[in-house]
Amino acid sequence: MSYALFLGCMIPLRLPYMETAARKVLDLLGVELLDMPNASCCGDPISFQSLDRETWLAIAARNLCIAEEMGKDILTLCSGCYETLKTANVTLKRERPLREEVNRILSEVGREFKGTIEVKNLLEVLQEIGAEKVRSFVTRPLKGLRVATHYGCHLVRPSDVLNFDDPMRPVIFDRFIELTGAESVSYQKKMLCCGAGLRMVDTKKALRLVEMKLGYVEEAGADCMAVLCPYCMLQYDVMQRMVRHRDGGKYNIPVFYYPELLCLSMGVPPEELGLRFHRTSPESVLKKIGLNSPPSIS
Amino acid sequence: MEEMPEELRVLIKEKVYFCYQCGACVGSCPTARAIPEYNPRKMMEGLILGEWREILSGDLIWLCTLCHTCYEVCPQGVGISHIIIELRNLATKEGMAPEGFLDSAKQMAATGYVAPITGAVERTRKQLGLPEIKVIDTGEIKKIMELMRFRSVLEDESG
Repeated sequence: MSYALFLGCMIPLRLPYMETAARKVLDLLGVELLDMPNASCCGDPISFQSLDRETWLAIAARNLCIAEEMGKDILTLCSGCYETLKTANVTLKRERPLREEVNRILSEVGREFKGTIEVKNLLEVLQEIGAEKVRSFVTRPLKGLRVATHYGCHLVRPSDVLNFDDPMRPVIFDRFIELTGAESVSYQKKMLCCGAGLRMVDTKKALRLVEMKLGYVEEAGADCMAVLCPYCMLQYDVMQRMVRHRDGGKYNIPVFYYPELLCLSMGVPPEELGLRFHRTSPESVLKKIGLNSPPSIS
Repeated sequence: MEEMPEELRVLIKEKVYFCYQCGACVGSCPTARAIPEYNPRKMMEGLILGEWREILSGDLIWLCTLCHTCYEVCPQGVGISHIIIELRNLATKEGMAPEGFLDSAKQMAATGYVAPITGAVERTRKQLGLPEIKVIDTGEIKKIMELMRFRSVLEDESG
C-alpha cells in the first residue's frame, strides 16, 4: 500500500513533530509514503481561497496533477490540505467548464488535470488498512485515558464535496480513539471551530474560541484533547499557553495529534515522538498511561 | 464601485434571496460567539436590501472562520460561507483585502508555501530525524498566478 504524501506547510514548517508521529505510525502499519516532486503547499482554504477562489483551485489542481503523474492517491496529514485538494478534485471532476478553464491555465505549465486519483485524509487511509488490523498493532492500550476528540471543521465540511462522516455529528474519529484503548468522552459544543481562521484578523478574539472549547473539555473531565489538523493543534496547544499566562494557570489540558496517541498505544517510546515540542506539557497523560515523560521545553 | 458586479448580482438573485431570516446561521456561528457584532443573518438582510457596498468594504466579511457550519445548517441552502468567499474575492479585486490574507499569496509566490521557512524549523526537523525541507521551483506557481490575473493583487501590494 502506498500513497503520494502531501505535507502542506503548517506541519513541516511549524509543527514538524506531527510529521514525525504520522510517518512513524504509517511505517509501522506498512504504508509506503512517496514524495511528491515539486509539490507546493495547498494554498490554504482560508486565506488563499478568500483572495481568489479560481487561483486557489488552479494551484490545488497543479498539485493533483503531480500525484496523477505518479499514479497514486494522495494522503493529506492536515485538514486544510484535505479540504483544498479534495474540493479541487471533486469540483473539477464535476464541473466541465471550470475544468477546461483550469486546464487551459495548466497547459501553459505543461500539466493537465485528468481526474484519475483520489484525495484521502489519515482516517480514510486507516479505514482502508482496516480498523481491526490497526487495532492488532496496539500493544500498549491507553486504558483509563479519557480523550476529548476535536474533529475540526475542514475534515467534514462542506460535506457535499468532502463526503466524509456526518458534518455536524461525526463518529469516525471517536471510534479510532477507542481503538487505542482510550475512552472518547462526550462534551458540549464538540463541533465548535478552533478559530484559526480568525487569527489572521483578530488573534485576541480567536483566543476566546480556544478558551470556550477548553472550558467544555475540562467540564467533561477529559484528560486530554486529540486533534487531526495542525491549525487546531496550534490553537489548542500553543494558544492555550497564552490563555494560561493571562489567566494565571487556569487550563492545563494536553493536546495530541491522533498519530501521537496511536504511536504511544503501539509501544513507540515517547522520546521518539517530539512530545517535548508541545507547548502544553503532555506529562499528566504520560503518567496516567504509565510512561516516563521526556524533558519539557516549556 | 459604481455598479453592482455581475457575479454579486447573480449570487444575490440565485442564492441570497432565498434567505428567510431564520437565524440558524447566527446560532451556529463560532465567530458570532466570540464577536457579537458579527451576524451572518444581518449580512444576508443587508444584501437583500441593497447595502452591498457597505458590506463589501466593511471589516465584518473578513471575520468568518470558514468553518462552513452555516453552509450545513441553512434550511434554504443559501450557502453563506460560499457567499462570504465570493464577497472576499470581490473585495480583493477592489484592493480591500487585509494584509494578513495578502501575505499568504506573497509567500506562495516567493516560496511555494504560505507559511515562512525558518532556520529554527530546519534545526527542529533535524532533531526529529526528518528530511530537509524541499526547495520548490516556484516558476509554475508564479506563472499560474499571473495567468489567473492574480499578479495585479501582488504587484499593487509591493508598490
